[in-house]
Amino acid sequence: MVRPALLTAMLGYTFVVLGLLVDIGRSWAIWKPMLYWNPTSVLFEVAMCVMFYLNVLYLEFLPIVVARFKGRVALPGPLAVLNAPVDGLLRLADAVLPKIMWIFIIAGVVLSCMHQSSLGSLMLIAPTKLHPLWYTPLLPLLFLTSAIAVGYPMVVFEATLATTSLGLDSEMEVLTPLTRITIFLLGTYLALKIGDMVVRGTYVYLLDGTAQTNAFIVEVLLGVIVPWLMLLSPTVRQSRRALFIACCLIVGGVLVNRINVFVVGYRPPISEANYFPAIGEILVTVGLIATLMFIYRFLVTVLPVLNQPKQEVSA
Amino acid sequence: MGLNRRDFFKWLTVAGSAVAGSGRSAHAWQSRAPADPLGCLVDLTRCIGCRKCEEACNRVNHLPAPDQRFEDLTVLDRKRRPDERAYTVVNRYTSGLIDERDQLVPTFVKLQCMHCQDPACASACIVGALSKKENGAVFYDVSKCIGCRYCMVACPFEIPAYEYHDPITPRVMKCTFCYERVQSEGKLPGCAEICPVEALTFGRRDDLLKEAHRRIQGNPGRYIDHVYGEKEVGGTSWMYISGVPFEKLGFNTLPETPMPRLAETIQHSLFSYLWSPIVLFGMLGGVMWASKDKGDRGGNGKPGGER
Ligand code: SF4
Ligand code: SF4
Ligand code: SF4
Repeated sequence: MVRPALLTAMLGYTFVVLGLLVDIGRSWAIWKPMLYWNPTSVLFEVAMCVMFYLNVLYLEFLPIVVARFKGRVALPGPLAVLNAPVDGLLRLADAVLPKIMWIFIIAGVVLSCMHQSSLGSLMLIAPTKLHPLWYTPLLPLLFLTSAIAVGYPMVVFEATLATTSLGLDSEMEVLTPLTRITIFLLGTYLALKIGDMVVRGTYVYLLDGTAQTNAFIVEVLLGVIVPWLMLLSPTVRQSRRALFIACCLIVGGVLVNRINVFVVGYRPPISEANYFPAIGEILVTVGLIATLMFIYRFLVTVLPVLNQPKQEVSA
Repeated sequence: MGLNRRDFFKWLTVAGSAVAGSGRSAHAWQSRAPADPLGCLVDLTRCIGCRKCEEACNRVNHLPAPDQRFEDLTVLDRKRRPDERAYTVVNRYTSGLIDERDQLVPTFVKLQCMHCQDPACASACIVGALSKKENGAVFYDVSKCIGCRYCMVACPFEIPAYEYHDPITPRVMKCTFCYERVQSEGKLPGCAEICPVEALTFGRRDDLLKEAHRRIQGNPGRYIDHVYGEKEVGGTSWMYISGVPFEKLGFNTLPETPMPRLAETIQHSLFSYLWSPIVLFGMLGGVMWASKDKGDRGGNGKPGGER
């Protein structure tokens, strides 16, 4: 349960960083934010969070690698001389890591919270460019709550996919109770979102039929309200298929929200040329995700990630 | 370290009041604009659209040669934006006004970076490659830039351009306010120096504002009563006066609040001295200890799979 989530987060972040590397124009200068700090920049904060979080994720994942290779280090050819030192390192890690792991587990939670809220703050600098349906001082909070709410649905989504495609036992007895908390978390997000709309009076846009408005309606209706109502029904919570669908909707809804905030809702008034990710950028993203899936498959086969005996699950 | 329930809640209360306290003591947002910046006043009723400023800007900034010669006024037939090869461009607008010989009266608008008093681009830049200088110029330091283009997202005037064609060392390109010329050589900006009809007045921003209002008051028939850039986004170093409403000339209507204000306020109140991550860390640590005492070490409420 925890390990697949960890693995996704780790791979996800690694690929986000690789993607960013492709994206920024002066890739060779990517280390510069470590030297030149601009504390007023939200992007600077995002960068720092990604950097620290990635390291924390690797550290959290390390015990799994250690468990797999400890005492079994057999490097090929001339590298064989390194066998003993590497094994020593692994043993050291095995002895030390469990004692200090709690630091990294908490740091991971803290960093991901900071990271989500700062991602939400990214567009606050452009009040005249982001559509009012999305531009709100609550953006950081909305990003944070939706990210927390999407956590368990994401686990359900992956566990279902992984157990099906690798032919493992389904984990329904663990998954069903978890959805109750999702009802609460997703409900909080929904309440914030609708409350914000009412307070700022942005519902006046809802019927104007523009692409932005429609995207907003799809995002909230299909991505939040429908799955939330679905989860309220016990039948849905017990059915593997229905639960999977509801969770897909939630994950999709959060995904659409991010796309809306950064792409659909971003409309600079002067340059009429509407920004749409160039075909190259789409290919890069799709390529990255495909690779990600492949590596996930590979790692869960080789490393003891899925379906651990119960007592190891929450390690 | 045996932390029992009571201690834990006591501790939580302390943390809670710390949160409330730092919320209250968070400072109101402060502008970091220089007190006495230089500026430039563009009088659109004077500009004759000769494109001399474009030519001078190209020369003093060593920009690449244009596709069409600067004497060629047919480029005015379509609207252009400043780009990575031209820091400033002049566009022609016709408002429907007709002169005594039934000809449409054109208004020419020179565009360049506004050198905002509280520039969104500088607040946003991840490495601080853009900065507001004491003399008013918003300066770009290419040696820091990582090419993330967040400045372009931030700028409300959609000014910074980017050398997309350069795969290794692309730069962000925008009007420099001729920083070196003005600061080290004591000269006027290239465009202001060359203008043959004094449509561009260079000077201290305060003086320019007075001059702008003097011209408007002295000739209310010629001007509309609005100095664009006096209040927009908290004030800009470049300012415009015009005989035609600015909305009809491609200027966007902007609020008077400086663009970085909300973002910086939120950023600051959430993260000054990193108090919120530290408090959160402490609280989660407390929860973990508390649940450990109860015998199950499973208190790992980590929401997975988000990014
Ligand atoms: S006009 Fe844009 S680029 Fe120029 S200083 Fe203002 S925010 Fe920065
Ligand atoms: S592109 Fe360069 S100047 Fe613009 S925000 Fe990024 S680092 Fe700063
Ligand atoms: S101030 Fe200098 S850089 Fe800016 S438009 Fe004028 S000549 Fe060009």
